[in-house]
Amino acid sequence: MKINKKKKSIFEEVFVNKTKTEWDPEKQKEYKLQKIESFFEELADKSNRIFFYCPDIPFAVGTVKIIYETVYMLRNSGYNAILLHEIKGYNPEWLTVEWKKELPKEFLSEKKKNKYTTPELKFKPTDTIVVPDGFWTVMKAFEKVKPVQKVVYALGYAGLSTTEPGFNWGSFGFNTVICLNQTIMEDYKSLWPELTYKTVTHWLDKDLYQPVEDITDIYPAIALNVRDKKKAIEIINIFTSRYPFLSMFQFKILKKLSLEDYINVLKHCCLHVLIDEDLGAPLPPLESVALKIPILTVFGRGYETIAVQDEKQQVKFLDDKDSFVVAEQIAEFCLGYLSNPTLRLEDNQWVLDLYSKEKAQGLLLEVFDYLQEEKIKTFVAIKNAVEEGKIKEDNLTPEKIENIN
Amino acid sequence: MKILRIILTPEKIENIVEDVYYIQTQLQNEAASLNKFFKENINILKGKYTHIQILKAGIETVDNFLELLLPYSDKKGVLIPILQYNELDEEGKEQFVVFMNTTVWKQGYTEEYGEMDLALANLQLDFTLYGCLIPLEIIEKYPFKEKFEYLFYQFEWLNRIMFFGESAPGIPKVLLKGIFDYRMKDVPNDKKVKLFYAAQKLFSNVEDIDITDDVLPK
Repeated sequence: MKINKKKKSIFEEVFVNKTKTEWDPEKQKEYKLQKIESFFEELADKSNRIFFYCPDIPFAVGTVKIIYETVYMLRNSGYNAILLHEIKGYNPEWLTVEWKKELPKEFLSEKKKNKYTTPELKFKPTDTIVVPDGFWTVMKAFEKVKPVQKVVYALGYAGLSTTEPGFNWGSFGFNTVICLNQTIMEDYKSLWPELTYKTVTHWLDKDLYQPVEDITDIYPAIALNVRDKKKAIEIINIFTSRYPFLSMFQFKILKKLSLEDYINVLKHCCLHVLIDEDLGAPLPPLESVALKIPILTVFGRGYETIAVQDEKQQVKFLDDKDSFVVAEQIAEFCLGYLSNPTLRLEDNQWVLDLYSKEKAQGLLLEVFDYLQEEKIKTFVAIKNAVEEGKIKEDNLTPEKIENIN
Repeated sequence: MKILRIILTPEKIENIVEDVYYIQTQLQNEAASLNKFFKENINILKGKYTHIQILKAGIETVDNFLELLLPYSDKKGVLIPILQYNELDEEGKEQFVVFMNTTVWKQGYTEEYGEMDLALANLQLDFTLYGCLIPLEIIEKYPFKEKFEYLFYQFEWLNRIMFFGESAPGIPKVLLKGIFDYRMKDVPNDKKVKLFYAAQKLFSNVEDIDITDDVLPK
């Protein structure tokens, strides 16, 4: 990714270049106040831009899905959220839901004749840049982009290895962290307590996560959701060689599927096996419960909350992730499936209630309303400083204005 | 769904149990015995039952048979449940060997997942008619071919109904378990091979096949 450092932001144009002219000081003050007023107007009608950096991952992945859904939710609530991708032209085709097409996108670079160029993307003081955790190099690249508001969207991405030694996100101006769940928040807070943390929640769209009505549409198939491909193959090999009489049970690998295909495959399977300890948020167990599909999983991040919420203990945890043990437990389940009318989960309501889109949207808005308030406070402070003549032409730099509050 | 269970047995058993009918027969004459029974009783059966289920002495339905069957009872055609095939070990104890009628659920064997079709029927991989739930109108329309002795009458019948476009969905539940002579130990191999190919050739999925009696064993 390239950030064009030569280009000045509008903020710099207004507060740095123009103040060095031979203008009358009163006119300058008036101009500054006018400009600040226009920022207030933007903030009041929420037309200020909130850029969500989204990695250009070509196949189905939770990060992209969550970011797109967040942008969609914010836009539905009146915020001017915009997706910020790396290279012009990225389009997650696998995210086949209709709303994806309507989301506005900006790009950091464009490929022309095998060369990458930087398009005309200028940041304004009223802008907010949101970068998912795990992309600290991107945060570092945005270090010089000031004085926009910078926020980390902590999805539990790739564990905690998120900066180089001696740095934290605050080093690059990312002082506020929005965490997707409480566990992620606690993890990061223990590491960097000086940052400001806000928690939202993941959610399931109940229109998408509809369990099959007819149980005859649930087939002898096992949905295998394993991060490590070798592990997945090992489990399948052990299962088929040790339990050949259960060869009627097909394995469906839940990888690189579009969102709709993912749900369609999962909801017709009789069992969901999830072995992924690096998962940022415990979304797949919730998806499984929402679709009423029994799940066997290893204990991962954020599962403590589920274990408490799941009063009927529908999410089953594997004692051991050894492939022989996993295969054995799958076989045990398969035998149960063959001799029981249904092994579907009975209760999915708690998931649909606790992780409803409405609830998530409410929490998300609370956080962004807070961020908006913080931004307004900053501009009020700047306005006061300008009115009181505290801001002098010769000492005006974006960094100083950023710290004026 | 109202089912008449027909149990084929080499011994004579008096028919006193409701919805169960014993037919005394030997393995090589099963087709003829069943045809005779249906010919004589089809009109009476049609008033009382919707389906028949052919069983062999030694095969039993599982305790929760009806509970397992219920969700699938609206499906059309011949319903093919899974049968747990056991054999006796050296000590005379029943030992689980394999599940039968499972191939419809294996990927790539059928065009429509979970539905028997002619291509799969032709392969005769793990099919047994014992325990299948057959609508009376299908059994009336397609009597068994008596020339196909032993269990090959079942193979030929399945090929034939598939050939003529009947449907046969699978039920992915074990509804039956037991012992029967699936291997047909006492039948010479060359005879088994001959019957197998005859039944397969008659209704293979090759186009423009001439269906004549020429291929039938003399």
